[in-house]
Amino acid sequence: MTDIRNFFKKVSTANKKRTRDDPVDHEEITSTAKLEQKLSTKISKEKVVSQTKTNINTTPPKKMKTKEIDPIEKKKRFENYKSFINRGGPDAPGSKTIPDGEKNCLKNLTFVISGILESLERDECKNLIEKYGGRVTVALSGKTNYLIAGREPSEGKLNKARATKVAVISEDDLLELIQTRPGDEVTPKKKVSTTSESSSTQLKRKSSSTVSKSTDPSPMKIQKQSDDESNLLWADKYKPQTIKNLIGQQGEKSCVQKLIIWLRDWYKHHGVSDEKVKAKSSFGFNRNENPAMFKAALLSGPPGIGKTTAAQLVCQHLNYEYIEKNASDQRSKKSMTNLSSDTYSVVNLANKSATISKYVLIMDEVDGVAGNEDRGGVQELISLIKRSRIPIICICNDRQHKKIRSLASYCYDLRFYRPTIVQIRARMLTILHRENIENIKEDVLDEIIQSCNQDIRQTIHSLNLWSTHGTTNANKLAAKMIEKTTNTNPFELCRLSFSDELREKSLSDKSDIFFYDYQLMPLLIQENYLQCQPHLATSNNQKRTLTNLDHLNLISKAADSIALGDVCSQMIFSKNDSWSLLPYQSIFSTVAPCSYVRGHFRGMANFSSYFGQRSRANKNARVLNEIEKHICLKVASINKQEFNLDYLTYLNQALLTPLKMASQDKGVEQCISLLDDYYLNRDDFQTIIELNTWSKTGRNLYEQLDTQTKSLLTRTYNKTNHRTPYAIVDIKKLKKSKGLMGEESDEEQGEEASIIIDENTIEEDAMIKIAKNREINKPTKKSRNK
Amino acid sequence: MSLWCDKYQPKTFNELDYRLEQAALLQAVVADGDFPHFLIYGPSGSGKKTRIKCLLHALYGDGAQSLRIENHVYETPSRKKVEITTIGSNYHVQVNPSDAGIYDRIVIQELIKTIAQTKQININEQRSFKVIVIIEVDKLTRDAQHALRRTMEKYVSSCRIILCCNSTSRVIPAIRSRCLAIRLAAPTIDEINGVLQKVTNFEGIQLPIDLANRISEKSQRNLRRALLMLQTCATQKLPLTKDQQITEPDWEVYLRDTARMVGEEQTPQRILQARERLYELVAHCIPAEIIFKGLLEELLTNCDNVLKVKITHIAAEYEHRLRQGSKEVFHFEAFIAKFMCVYKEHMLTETTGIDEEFE
Repeated sequence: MTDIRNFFKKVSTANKKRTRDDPVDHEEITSTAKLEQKLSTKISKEKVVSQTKTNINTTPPKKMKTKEIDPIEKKKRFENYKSFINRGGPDAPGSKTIPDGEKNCLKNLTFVISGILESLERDECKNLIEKYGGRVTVALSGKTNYLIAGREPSEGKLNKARATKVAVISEDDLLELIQTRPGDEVTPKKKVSTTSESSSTQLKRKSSSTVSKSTDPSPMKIQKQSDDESNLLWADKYKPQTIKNLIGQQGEKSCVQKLIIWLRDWYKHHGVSDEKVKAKSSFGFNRNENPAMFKAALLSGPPGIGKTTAAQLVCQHLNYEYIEKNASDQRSKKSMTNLSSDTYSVVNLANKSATISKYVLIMDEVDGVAGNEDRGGVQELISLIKRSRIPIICICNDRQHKKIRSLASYCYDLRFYRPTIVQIRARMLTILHRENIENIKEDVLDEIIQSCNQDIRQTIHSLNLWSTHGTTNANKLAAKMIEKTTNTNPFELCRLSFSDELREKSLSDKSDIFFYDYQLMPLLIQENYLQCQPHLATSNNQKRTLTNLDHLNLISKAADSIALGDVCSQMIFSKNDSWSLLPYQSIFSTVAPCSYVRGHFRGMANFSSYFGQRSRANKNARVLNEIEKHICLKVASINKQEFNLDYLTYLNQALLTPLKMASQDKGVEQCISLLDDYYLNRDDFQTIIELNTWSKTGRNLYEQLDTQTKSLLTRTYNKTNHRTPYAIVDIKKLKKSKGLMGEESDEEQGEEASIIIDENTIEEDAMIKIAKNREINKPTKKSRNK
Repeated sequence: MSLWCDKYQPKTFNELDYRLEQAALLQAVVADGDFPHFLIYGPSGSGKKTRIKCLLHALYGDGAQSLRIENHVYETPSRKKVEITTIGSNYHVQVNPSDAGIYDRIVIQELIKTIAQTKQININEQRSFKVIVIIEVDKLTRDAQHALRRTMEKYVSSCRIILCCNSTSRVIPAIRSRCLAIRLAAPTIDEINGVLQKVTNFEGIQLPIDLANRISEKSQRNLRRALLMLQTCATQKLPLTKDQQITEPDWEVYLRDTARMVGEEQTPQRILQARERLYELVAHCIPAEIIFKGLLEELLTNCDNVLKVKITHIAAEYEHRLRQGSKEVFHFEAFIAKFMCVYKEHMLTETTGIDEEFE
């Protein structure tokens, strides 16, 4: 693409060159005169062309208006029409750069366009002319100033133009006209023949800018600068210039004030000069109250509230020079070291020359110091802070980030908060006033600010956007934007998707809800679709009410669709490359069910119970796994699922019935012996009971036991040692020991893992029992010692 | 003290109570010396693992019954650690690779290969091969099954594999063809009765024949469950009477109640209630297919024949979809909603005229 564009540019410049090389062209002639010249040459050329054309034409164009049309003429006209219908667009659309003319430079000029222009569509051309105050009419009249003729212009118009002496110009001429014509204070003539002063000066500018650019401060340059000013984004244009302009930082205890004080006193405390005051070091919670001891400051807060600006302005205010490094610079350990040495060299120079007083290093976006390229950046920054002889200001968004936390302990912590809406609003009103936009209401403005999450920069950008859209419908746009930005709560979206509001919306609008969060939304829809009382579409026969069966039918269809959506999502997640199915899933799991049951939504949108239930299922599976591991020596012929389905209920019964039926002591004894036989421990006992508890049935035998029995059970269980063929891992101890000795604990686990029990001999052989006991006790003792 | 079903589990072929012909065949295979790979399948509680135990005993003697637990940790290519527990003796290892979830292939590759590659040193005294018992083969992922199939062939000289599963439908044909498949049908009511009587004789308890019959039927021909039921009856009330209450597994009762609720009333509120209960079942790790089966069985009880066909057809469709999906409850719910529709419509057409009152 770019190649093509360049090519066209070349072509067009070549064209221009050709005209410039015209022998008629002289430097002395003023630009408009030059233009005039060119026009006349063009016209003459056109004339020749059209004359030759008319010569070729057997019939003069006047004859066209006669009522009697001879068949040849008819055919001719038909062919003309045919070619008119079939003619293509511009040859090289967009190839020419459209110049920025002065405002209303084409005022009071009337144009007629004929034929196909070289680079502009007819509408584009019309818009361009109208933009600069010109008028475009369809037919030539006495008031017409120019006929813009392109490829295949109409014969009639050319002839008429000649008759009424209207200048015939090409597209290039038009563009040049726009570029060179002065603004609206000059009254235009029928033909541009005067040499107005402004244009003459313009030429002078041109020549001066090319010839003696360095000698005089060219006005062209100034103009360019002002151009830049108007092109600037508002956010940059209205950037605070002094500290007083900062929003929400005017108070005594504001961050900026603190920063000023800290920075002002920095060289007093840390500088190399003789008046150095040793800062008192203080620790604990109040250390932030003594800013003097810090060599760096950390400004943190959400984006767009002016942290960087504040840092820069404070430096300017104190007349310090600052060096800024942000995420666009590489900030690895190595580059950071280089940086520090660089800055030191600068500082050394600075000490020699007294004119520039003091330096500050601003490290912007420190939380962006991450990844492979910036490895060790934060550590180096910390050491840099320790060594530094200049103050460092660090700026970040996320104060709670892991990396920042280590940095924060070396920094004077200044937290920026979002300004209030009122504070932002005042500033926005000034900006709008300066931009001559008055018709935005205050409440709309407030909403805009809120929708931007009180981010000043974003608010300004939004306002800027609307102003370029045309100020008249800013309110409408504002409302639209807000609608888009505020509806971001999934629960609200869920409600919305069931409501009648969405009935008329397009399919893509409906599926947008799904794409808000494609994992959460289907679950929310599934959770809540039953709460919706469907309405019949109003276009249907209104008398018919929805029967219960109809409702069920709709629900069934919705549920079907949701189930299909689940199948779809499973396909997406099981095969990595089938993300293209996502739109289908959106239809299945969000759009279709919502359309089936669309209607009155009762109550609140609930959060999906799927997550909670799934984590419960996972936990239970884990616990079951654990129990299965414990009993697997005794019940080798069983897997987890069979244990769950068959054993669990009965094991529970077998454990608890003796407690209930028999006398206390005997029952407890029986229960514990059963536990021991199956190598189950007290925790397993508890989980077995938990797994046997079902909601809303209340069949929990353990709850029916009296507390005496329960406590007796616990006491008796704890009294005796219980042999297990597996190592009981105390998680708390494990964590401690792991923290202390790291690798060693791993080795131990390996030992524990291969404890062997000989089932057959163990009952008879006392020696083995002892040996085994020792083996089991060993690790626990070890960990206790540690 | 241990539960009766463990206490009276047969340890040798001679102690078995039913399928004796098959047992004789197995014994002959072991005695012959040429021992193939086995694929033993059948419903749960039919005695698959008992047969395996007997096989191992016949192969290695008592040594195969001194068991130990071993923990193995493997690292997946994505640096995730997979822990797996095996039970084994000097002669065999029992492993359930599906414990490792989607990483079961690693288990197959690493664990089974290492075992299979080590040869027995003393061939004269022992068999020349070790046995690996893999349970829940039908739960293995396709990748793992493919990994297994080559291993089975390659190391056939040093190890034999006994596969154990409930159904062969999800075992790939390549594996099925490499094994001697042995199907164990669930014991008949009479066979279960016989076992129950035998056990009560050992315990010195009188078992009324009616109670034995009822237990056998309630257990759905699952011998393990029948024994557990019997013992629970015995702990609750000791001379056993014929009209004694038999405790069923809690989840079965809960599931049946859920299905009953759906059958009673067909409203959106009921669907919500049923959803809650289904979530509870899933949270208790009850497998989805068992829930589905239970639901259908209970729902069919109050349907006439025309409806039965329809409902079963629907159930099959939704069960298939359930296997393709991942969130079971969604599919249960879709099934219940569909059932409600069909049922209600059927009822309305049956009793036209009075349907207005019901609305």
